[in-house]
Parts: sequence; C-alpha cells; structure tokens
Amino acid sequence: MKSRPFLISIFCLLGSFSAFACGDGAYLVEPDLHWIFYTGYNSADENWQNNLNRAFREENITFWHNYVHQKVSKEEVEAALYDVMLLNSHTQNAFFRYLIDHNDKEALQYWMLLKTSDSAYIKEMSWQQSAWFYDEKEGERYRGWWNEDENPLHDLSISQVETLDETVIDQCKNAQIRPRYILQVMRKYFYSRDYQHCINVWEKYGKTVPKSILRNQCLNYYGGALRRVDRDAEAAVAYATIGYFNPKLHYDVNVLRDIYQQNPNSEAFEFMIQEFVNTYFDHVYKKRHHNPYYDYYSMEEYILPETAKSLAFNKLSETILKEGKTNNPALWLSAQSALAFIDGDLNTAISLLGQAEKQKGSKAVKDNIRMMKLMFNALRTDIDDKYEETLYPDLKWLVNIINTENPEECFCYNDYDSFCKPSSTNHHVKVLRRTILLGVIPHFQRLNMPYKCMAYQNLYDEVVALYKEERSMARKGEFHRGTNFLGATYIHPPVYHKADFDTYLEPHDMGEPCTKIVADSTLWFLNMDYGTTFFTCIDTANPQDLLRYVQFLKSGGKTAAEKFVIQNSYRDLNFYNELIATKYMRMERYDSALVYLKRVSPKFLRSQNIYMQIDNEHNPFTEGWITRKDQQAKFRLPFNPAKAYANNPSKETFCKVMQKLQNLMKNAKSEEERANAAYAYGLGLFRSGIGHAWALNYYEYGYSWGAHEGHGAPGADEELEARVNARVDEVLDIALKETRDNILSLKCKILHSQQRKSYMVKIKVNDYWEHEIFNKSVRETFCDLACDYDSPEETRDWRWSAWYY
Amino acid sequence: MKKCIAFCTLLLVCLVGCQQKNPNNNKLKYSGNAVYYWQTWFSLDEQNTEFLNKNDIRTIYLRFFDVDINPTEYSSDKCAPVATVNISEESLGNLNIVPVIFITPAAIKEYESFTDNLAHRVYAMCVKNKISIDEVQFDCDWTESTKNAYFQFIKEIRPALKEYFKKDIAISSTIRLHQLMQEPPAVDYGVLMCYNTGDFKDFKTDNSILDVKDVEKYAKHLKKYALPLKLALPDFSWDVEFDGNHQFVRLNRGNYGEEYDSTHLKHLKGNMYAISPVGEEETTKFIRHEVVSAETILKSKALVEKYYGNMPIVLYHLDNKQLSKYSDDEIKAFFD
Repeated sequence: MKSRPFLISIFCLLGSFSAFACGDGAYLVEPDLHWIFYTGYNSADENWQNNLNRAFREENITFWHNYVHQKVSKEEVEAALYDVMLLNSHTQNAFFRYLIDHNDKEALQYWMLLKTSDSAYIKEMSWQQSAWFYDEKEGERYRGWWNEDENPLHDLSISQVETLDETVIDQCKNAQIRPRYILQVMRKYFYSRDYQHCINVWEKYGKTVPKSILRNQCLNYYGGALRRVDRDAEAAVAYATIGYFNPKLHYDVNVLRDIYQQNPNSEAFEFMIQEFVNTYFDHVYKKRHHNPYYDYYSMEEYILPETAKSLAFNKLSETILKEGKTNNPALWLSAQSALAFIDGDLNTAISLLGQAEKQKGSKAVKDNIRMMKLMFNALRTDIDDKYEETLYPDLKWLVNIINTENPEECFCYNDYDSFCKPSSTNHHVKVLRRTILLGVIPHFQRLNMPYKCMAYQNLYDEVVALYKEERSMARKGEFHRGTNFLGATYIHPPVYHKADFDTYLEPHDMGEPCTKIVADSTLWFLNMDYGTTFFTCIDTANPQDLLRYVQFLKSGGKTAAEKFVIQNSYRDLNFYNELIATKYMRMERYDSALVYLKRVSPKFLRSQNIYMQIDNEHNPFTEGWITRKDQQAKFRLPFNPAKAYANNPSKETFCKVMQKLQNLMKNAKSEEERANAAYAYGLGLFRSGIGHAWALNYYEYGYSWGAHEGHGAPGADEELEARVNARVDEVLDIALKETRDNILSLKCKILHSQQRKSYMVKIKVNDYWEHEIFNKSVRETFCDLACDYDSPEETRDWRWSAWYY
Repeated sequence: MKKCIAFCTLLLVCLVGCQQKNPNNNKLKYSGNAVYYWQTWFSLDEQNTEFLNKNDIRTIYLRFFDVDINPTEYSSDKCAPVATVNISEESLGNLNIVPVIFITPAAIKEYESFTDNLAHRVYAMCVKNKISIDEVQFDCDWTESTKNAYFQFIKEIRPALKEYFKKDIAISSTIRLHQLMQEPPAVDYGVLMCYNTGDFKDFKTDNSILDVKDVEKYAKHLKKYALPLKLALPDFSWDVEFDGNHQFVRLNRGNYGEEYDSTHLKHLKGNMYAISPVGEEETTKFIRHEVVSAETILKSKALVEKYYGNMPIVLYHLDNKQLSKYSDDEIKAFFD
C-alpha cells in the first residue's frame, strides 16, 4: 500500500478527524447524537459536542499519562493517541515504546486493535474525500452524505473489532483497560445492530465503569440501543444522564409521563423539563419572529401543534402535582410558568412563578425561579416608580454569579457572528441579556431616559466583556492599535444595526439592540472599547444624551441600584470626553469640540487605535497643487491650512484650522479669499468625512467610501456619505459663487464630482478637457489634481484620457 | 502448369514460414479475438451482440475512465479520473471484461503515485458493476521524457491491484508504434496500436489513422521487441478540418456527410474536400476525410506479422456505424 496520497489527504482530514475520533478509537458521534446541543440549567453551551470531545481528549491524555506513571511526556502520549501520522509508525513513539519495554501485553493488544481500527477508518475517509472516490454500491454519486444508519464508516470502524465479545472483558485482568474494552464491546454490538447485547453489556458491567467521559460514552451507546428496542423512557433517562438532548425523546410529553410512571423522582426530569421548555421556546417564539421561511405557513398551521404540546405538559404537570409523589414540585410549576410566558401571558406566568417559589424544589430549580422572576419583573410596566429597586437584589445576585463563572463561557464579543447573535449561551448570561436588553433598556426607552439605557448597556457590556483581563490591560494604555484598520478584520455592520429599538421586544437571543441610527453615526469596529454594543449606543446618541450620561456617571448614583450600575460600568472620562468632542467635530461645532478635547489626556489619545492614522500622511488639506509654486501664488489665504495641520497633526489642530477657515469665510477681506477659505473648508470636511483623514471623525474606515467597493454599502454608511456630500456641496457652492479664478473653479468642480465616485471625476474632467481647458498651464494643473485622487494606476489612466481624449 | 503454381505457392509459404519471427510471439497467455469499447456508456445492443458472436469475440477491452489533471477543486488530488464509463449491468453476459484506463500525457507528467486510488477505483467499479476481472490494461502515450514515470506507475500498480482484488491481476499496456524503439514496460503483454500512425494536424498528411509507409518505419523493431504482443487494428474514421491557411481547426469524429452540408463540399483530390464559405464571416475550409480501407488494414497487418509472427487481434473499436463500412469477409480477414 502506498502511503503518499493517503498522507496528503490526511492533512485535509485532520479537522474532521478530531471531531470523529475520540482518542483510543471510540467514536463519539453516534447516529442518535446531533451536532447542536442544549444542556441543562447552568452551563448551556452550544458547543457541547466540541467541548465534550475536547474534555474527553484531555481526560484520555491524562489517563494514559498516569498509566505509564508519567514516565513519558504528555506530548508523546498525545501524539500516540491523536497523531494520525503515527498510525503506521506508532511503535517509534515513546508511549508505545514504554508499553513494549514493560511488556504490557494487555495494553499493547488493546492499542493494536484500536489503531488498526483507526487506520482503516481514516483510510476510508481519505478515500471518500478523494476525487477518485467511486462508491461500491452507488457508483459515482454525490459524496459526503449518507444515511447515518448506512454509514459505511461505522461498519468499517467495527470490522476491526467484530470478534470482540464479553469474554474479552472477563479475561482482561487490567482494571484500567477493562472499562475500555467494555466501551469497545458495546460499540461493536451497537454498530452490529445487536442492540440487546449492547444493553446487556452495560447492565452487566456498567457499574464497574468509573465516572468519566468514557462512562458517558458507554451510556451513549446504551441510550441508543434502548431507543432502538423501543425503550424510549429509559433511553431518555440515559441520554439525560450524560446531558445529551434528543428532541424526539425529550420533547415528548408521553416520554415524560412514562418516566414519571417508572420513577416520579427521576433525576432526569430537571434536564428534560428544561430542554422541553427551551425547545418549545425555539419552536414557537424563535421561529415565529425570526425565520422568514415560516412566512409561507399560516400561523395556525405552524403554531397550533406546538400549543398542543404546552397544553399536554400543563395537564401532566397538574396531574403530577395533584398526586403529590414528586419531590420537586417547584420544577413542574416553574416550567408551567415558563410556558405561559412563552405563550405571551405574563400575568399567568408571574402568578405560577409565585406559586412555584413557595413549593419544595432543588437548588437549581430555586435559582432558576429567581432568574425567571428577575426577567419577568424587568418586563413589567406596572412598577415604574420602584422599577430599579425591585430588580436590584436579583440583578446583583445574577451579576455576582456571572462574575464568578468562567469568563470564556460568558463573553459575548469575540467575532463577527457574536455581533449578530451573541455567542455566549451560558444560562446566566442569557438571563442577563434578556433582562437588560429586552426588559430594562426598553423600559427606560419608554420613559425617555436614554442615559439610563446607556447605563445598563454599559453594565451589561462590562459584565460579559470579551477577555476582561485583556480589556483592563488595554485600558491601562495598551490598546491593540491599528489591528482592525482598513478591512484587516473587516466587519459588516449587522442587520439589526437599523433596528427600531421601540419595536425590539423579542425575549430571546436575537442580537443586541441599538438606538436608531442618527446622522452623525459612526461605524463598528472590533477593538476593545470601540467594538461594544455600548459604544454603538453612545456613538449613535446625540451629544446631549451622552453628556447627561456622563453627569450620571460622575454623580456616583443616588440609590443602591444606581450605585451598583455605575460601579459595574466603564467610567474613564477620557473615553467619553473624546467621543463628545468627536461628535461636535462631526457637527462642525469646533469650538465645543475643543472644550472637550482639552479634557482628554494626551496619554489616552496616544492609546487610541486611530492615533496612528492622525498624521501628516493623512493631512486633510494637502493637495498636489498646493506645493506647486505657480499655483501657490494663486491660493489666496493668509495661511496655508495644510502646513498648519502638518505642524502638529491632531484632532485639536484640525479643529483650530477649521475654526480659522470658518472665520475667514465669514470675515474675508476679498471674494477670492472667501472662495479659497470655502474651498479649503470643503476639502477639510470632505477629507475628514469620507476621505483619507477619516480618523479625525470616525473610529473605523468606512468601507463604502471606495476601498471596499463591491462589498455592498450598508445604509448607515450611505447615509453618512450623503450627509457629508451635501454639506461639502454647500460650501463649495460658496467658493464657486465668489471666485473668478478658473483654476479654483475647476478644483471645486472636480471635488464636487470626486466626492461622489471616482469615475465621475473622469467624466467631468474629460468634459472640461474637451470644452474648456486648452492652455498648457491649466492642463498641467489638471494633471496634478488628478494625481491627488486615488491610486497611481487610475491616475495614469486619467492622465492618458486627459491628454488624448 | 497447375503443379507449377502449387509448387510456387508451397515455396512461398515455406519462405514466409522460415522468416525469423520474434520469439515472444508464442508466449502470450491471453488470446482470442477481442474489441475495444471506448464510449462513456457501455451498453451492448443486438447488433453489437451479433457482431461479437459472429466473430467469436469473447473479450472486450472496456475503457473505464481516463486519468487527467484534476479538473475540479473539491479535492487536493493533482490527477483525477474523468469521463468514467457508465455500465449497464445487463449487458455483460459471459463476456471477459478487461478494464482499460487511459492516462493522458499531462497526467503521467504529473504522476504522483495515484496507484492506490486508481486500483481502489477500478476495484470499486468492478464491485459495483459485478464484473470479475483477471487483467487491467493501461493506455498511455508515454515518450522518452515520461517513460520513467509510466514505468514507475506500472511497477506500483500491480501490488496495489493485488491488495484490492486479493489475487494477482495481469497487467497489459498499449504500445504505440514509436514506442517500439524503446524498451517495453514491465507488463504481461502489450497491444500494438496499428493506428494513429500520422500527425493528423499536419495538412500534408495523407491519412493519419493508418498509413502502411508509417508502419513500415517502425515494424522492423518488432523483431527484437521483448514483449508478447496483440495487434490492435482500426475500424474508425474521422474528418480533419483545416482553415483557409491550412491550419488545423478540429478533429471531427462524426461520420462524413453528417457534419458538413454536402452542397457546399467540393472534392479536390484523394480524401481532401473544400467547403465554400456560407456567410460573410465564413472563409474556405478544408476537410480531410480519413477512412482506412480493408486493404490497407490487411497490408499493415501482414507487414507487422512479417516481423513478429501471428498476433491475436483486437479491433478498435466496437461501433456499429464504423464497422458497417466493412464487409463480413473483411472483418473475418482482420481476425484471421
């Protein structure tokens, strides 16, 4: 057998292999297991599968590391277990060498079996993904999909262990290897479709398998086998034990009833009922409000079967509560409350929750009731006066829980997807998200208190911030400057950017709300404090609202609730003052901008990621013609704005130059001076608005401004562009009206067109070239002007077209 | 007089019989009449079956697929199978099928040990189509520059096939006339392709399919060619199209008269025709209609056998339309 093509394709397969293979040959992915999971109360994680694989990998490495008394490095053990390249040469590995040297026949025999199995499996996968693949049953068919029950890989994976049976377990003297044989024998029976034997093996030997992920894998086969012999209730319990949600079993009231009849106090109920409620939620709410495909179906057709599930559950729950056999009545009642909430009946939900609170229940159930209460209270509209005080104790309790949990599980901002759909599915984070984003913020929006919206958004972002440690380091002056510029980590603004906050009331993970886009809005970028939803909120708010919020922050809060919110917020005033100043700059209120800029420390400014872009290379006033002596003479201003800015490129200098130009436009000594001032002012507006000096007004390069054409310009960006263009046009019109200078007039016209799109320049320029400009000096000027815009390649084309048109 | 004629004939037969033949010509284990099947849909109709029975043909060299540079992007394989034959299961009967894999010059140039995948695919195709095989043939126009790669491939494919089929699989290879000048590949036997002897792109070529003069050039090497051989004879025809400047345009494997409007055709000389322009854009074109006469085929066969001895015949290829150009007797003569 030649190994070369095999090895090449192995590289392509490594990713999928890691998902399939769990170390010593067991395959976690089962016909019954799905790729997307929900789990129970506390650590809901959509990546359950991946985490489990990872955890198993770690557990497995540790197990074998200890098995060889840590005489071999963990790396060697890991390579022995998981490096597929070693499949054909594993005896060279230190781990296997150890087993050989110590004559551990049982372990070696076990590994030989498993490695042969792995090798065959990988080879088959490699073959199936190759261009040469031809199916022995189907011929040349679409590859990459098969019916799970007929997956040839499963047959293949057991072909190597088909001779195994219970005797190998009985004969194995090694207590550490034995449970592994139990798993293999179960696996063999399962894929041989000998389900009864699979069940028998677990029922006979299961107790000897220590608590571990390996045990879970055995239970996985056990559950699958039970299901196939129609013992659904037991299968559901087995699956619930390992935290695997199977919608066919766990979203079925009949199965719940059967389990109850077998054991009214089954431990599986907590997991199952939670999953029942979550699934109901997904089916009813999420699909009703989100999935556009369901528009094709009538609501009755789609929702009614779900409502029947809710009714059936309530009926079962009432019966169970009446019988009084359950030791966890709070669980059943709180589930009824959740279903009522999902059905839109908040009052009934609150009432049922009140009853549940008084009933006996496990700690997890009681905690969940408290969280539900927090959410329900956040949505209430009848407690405006005591709203914050009502929420405060439970909110504080919840935030404390989140703060003690694994931050990696909790953070919400890590990539583009997380903006569209916050990534954390940690149950506590979910509750906080629903409480604040769907309850508290809309509440204060309704009361017209934007500063409170900002306050709670700030709290939320701080609690679920990405990598808190990195963020706090960044705030000490170590921003990751420039890492996200110019599309390096390019992010489309999410769809909900335009969402109307007032109508944004879906109580689930539907993304982050944000205030309406206003004219001076900026764009997103992913860089610490400028990449959060909170930043979007304050950046899109008007300066007065932001000022009000800053006052609130500075006040420290009056009530305990306010104090709590402020204490958990980002409070660096440099951050806010700089943003307020920038807002004023966008509004051309340079005097106000300067007031706030003066309050920002130079250290803070230097740590901003836009700092590197605010330099002379991005001088908003520079143009080729300014440097030409013959044209300079015609530039009638008492000062050179480009040079003035170049002396100390900063927001502050820019404001001062623009202020000067504003004054000149008002108090010019001549019409030409006014015209020149207006032109230079227009240039400043244009360059800082949508040109290369964008960092003066924004925190991310606007990608519809030219650099990323073809990606589609989002509405906000177009809106901004239109606003800047309109304003530049106004100013240039003044210049055009006042000037008698042909060159200035031409420059204004070119800028007029260049603002829109570069191709317009070409058309316009050609137009002028043909009809107006014939003398040499003007022609040269035009060529210099063309040089100012865009890329050298384009400029060359323009020059060419200018000369030869 | 009659005695004299009989004596002369006997003398001629003796003379021919006494000519030195290649010692390999009787080493061939696999004999009997055979045909190639070179289309992408394998299905034998009544006419095919009748032809096979009439000529006692029990072996079909069936093209399974070509190996070419991977045209797709979904896998990292440099080379990949293309134009795989679809096999109609009912058509097989008791026929002995020899899979043939054509390896393009580009693919053999890029050869990177695709033997395992190739063997696996041949095996999978045999399993899927319930074909039992003892032999696989490879067709490749290898040259001096690609010889090593091809020979390496031949070396590697045998154990690979054995691994999948769990038995020894014989390997044969097509041999082009120009390859007779080289050492033979390490296969069980070769099939000498007595066709494609000329350069079809050359306007001056008279008949690129088969020209006795071309065969003559290479046949002498047969005397010492160290490989048992079968002989493949052509029954196909084609039209070669040239533009007004005698530059090659395309090869039309369709039959003459179907592709071109006869009203615009003007016979020039021999097998050359001119097509007068039809529209404003059109210019004069030239068509060389190449058909091989039975006489030429038999002459070439005799010439080859003169140097090598008798060889089992494989007809290229099983196509009712093409075969209809020859009489039953002519076909019989090809196989005799």
